[in-house]
Amino acid sequence: MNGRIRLGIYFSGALLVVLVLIHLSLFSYWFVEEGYYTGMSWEAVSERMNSILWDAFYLVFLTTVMAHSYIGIRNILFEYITSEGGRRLITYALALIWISAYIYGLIPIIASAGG
Amino acid sequence: MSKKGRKGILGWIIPITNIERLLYSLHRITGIGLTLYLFIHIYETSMRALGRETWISTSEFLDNPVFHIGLLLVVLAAIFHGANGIRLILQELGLIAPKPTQPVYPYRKYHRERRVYMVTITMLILGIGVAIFALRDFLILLEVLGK
Amino acid sequence: MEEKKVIFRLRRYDPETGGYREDRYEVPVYRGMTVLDGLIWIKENLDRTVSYRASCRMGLCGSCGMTVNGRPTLTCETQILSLERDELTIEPLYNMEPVRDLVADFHQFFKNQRAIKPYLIRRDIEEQVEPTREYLQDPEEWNLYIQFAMCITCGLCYSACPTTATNEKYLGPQALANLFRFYIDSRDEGWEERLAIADSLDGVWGCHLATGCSEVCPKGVDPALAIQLLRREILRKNLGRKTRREARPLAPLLPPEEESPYRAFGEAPEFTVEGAEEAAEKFNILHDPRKR
Repeated sequence: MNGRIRLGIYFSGALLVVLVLIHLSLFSYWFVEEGYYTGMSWEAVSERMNSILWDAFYLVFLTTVMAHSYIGIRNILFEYITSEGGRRLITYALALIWISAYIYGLIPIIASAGG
Repeated sequence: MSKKGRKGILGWIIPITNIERLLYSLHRITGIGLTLYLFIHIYETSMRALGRETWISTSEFLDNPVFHIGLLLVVLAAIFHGANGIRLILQELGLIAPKPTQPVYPYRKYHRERRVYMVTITMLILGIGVAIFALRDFLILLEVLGK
Repeated sequence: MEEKKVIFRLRRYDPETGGYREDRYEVPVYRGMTVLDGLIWIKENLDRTVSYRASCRMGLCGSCGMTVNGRPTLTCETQILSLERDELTIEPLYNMEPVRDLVADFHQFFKNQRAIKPYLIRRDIEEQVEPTREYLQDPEEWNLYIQFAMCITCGLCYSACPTTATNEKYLGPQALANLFRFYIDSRDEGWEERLAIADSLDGVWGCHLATGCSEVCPKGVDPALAIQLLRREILRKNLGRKTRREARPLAPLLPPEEESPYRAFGEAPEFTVEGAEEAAEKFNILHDPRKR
């Protein structure tokens, strides 16, 4: 079971390559002319967030990146904590942190979905 | 069970025997770094929910050379992590694994060449990624810092 | 020919204090002299308290693995002049508990080796213990595993691996390569058991492809490849795809009038030492698959 979870890191990783490329291109100087945060101004972002497609993109992106980082960090910690109980503790403790961060991350997506 | 004699976290880089070993350490370090950034980024973007003024003041607070350099490092780390990740997906799942062969004296490194190809391809992807996403940013950053 | 001198810096472990201390020795080097020859020279001429482990001196037994200049090396196969250094730092193998001076404890290493069941698992156990026929095998089938059967259990891969540096439960490159060697063997029938052992975070999923193991292997075994291939098999199994083919049927039975060559050895002689019988019984239980 523990091993199979690591399979998820490969699939989410492959997906992330595409998603991160899109995400990075948004604020790269190749696409935004003047400064880092002109493309990130309130209006520019609002415009983007009003589209349901971008909302869906961010939802998928956030979910994938959270899953990927969760498996990765858990995997590193499992190398240090090798007892069964310790590993279970890590699994749940990390899940708690990651789920709360996930909910936090959902806030701007949901807030903008309404308009 | 005792951990005596084990290298611990130093074991990421000791002993450095080959280039993949180095890529392994970098993959870990960038992975941890990106995770830390992810949490900061989530906090930063959630400011939008608090309204326009908070968002703009956050943007202004972040608009200084230190954060620009930090962001550039994050982009570089992401590009490395992605390029190396593609290699790892292909290699680790055995999708491009060669057939085992019978070793013959003097037992040179079998299948090593194929791995070196993969590392080279990773470096190429990395180079292209850096060229597209970071190089121009870096030049402009230098200009901004020069003013 | 002028004589060259090389400094041997031995990082010696002291079990009484639990720390390391460094001793320097100057060794005259001739062409063809190996690092192990240097250590033997030190023990014979300079310091008789130096401890190291070595046996065959020709890369067969796998006893003399040590860390030379930060790289796990089989000292009997490494010539001093080929290293092109004036100073050699020699330490016990990493990621194993040091015993004394340059000797490392292989306890965990061999425990892992036993954990992967390094023997042929057969369904026809009676036939395995009292063989009447031969197992058949093609050269192609032999080629699939011979690379991983070259292992001499020297522990260099275990020492070079970054995962074993922290995770003492991790099976390690050697055990996993050995597991694959039996898994892919056309005579073996325990593949489901074997995949179950490998399919864990302390098995193949603990590997992150640093390939230090393949780099330091003195026999060209390439444990990293074995782990990749094992992963592919596990992936195929999870996806419901065909994994390994069935074990091949046995060779045809000999005609009854011909005596089977396997039975021609006769009985063992009587025990002459006291307690030997019990010891033999214990050994048989350990090695008889019917009693496992």
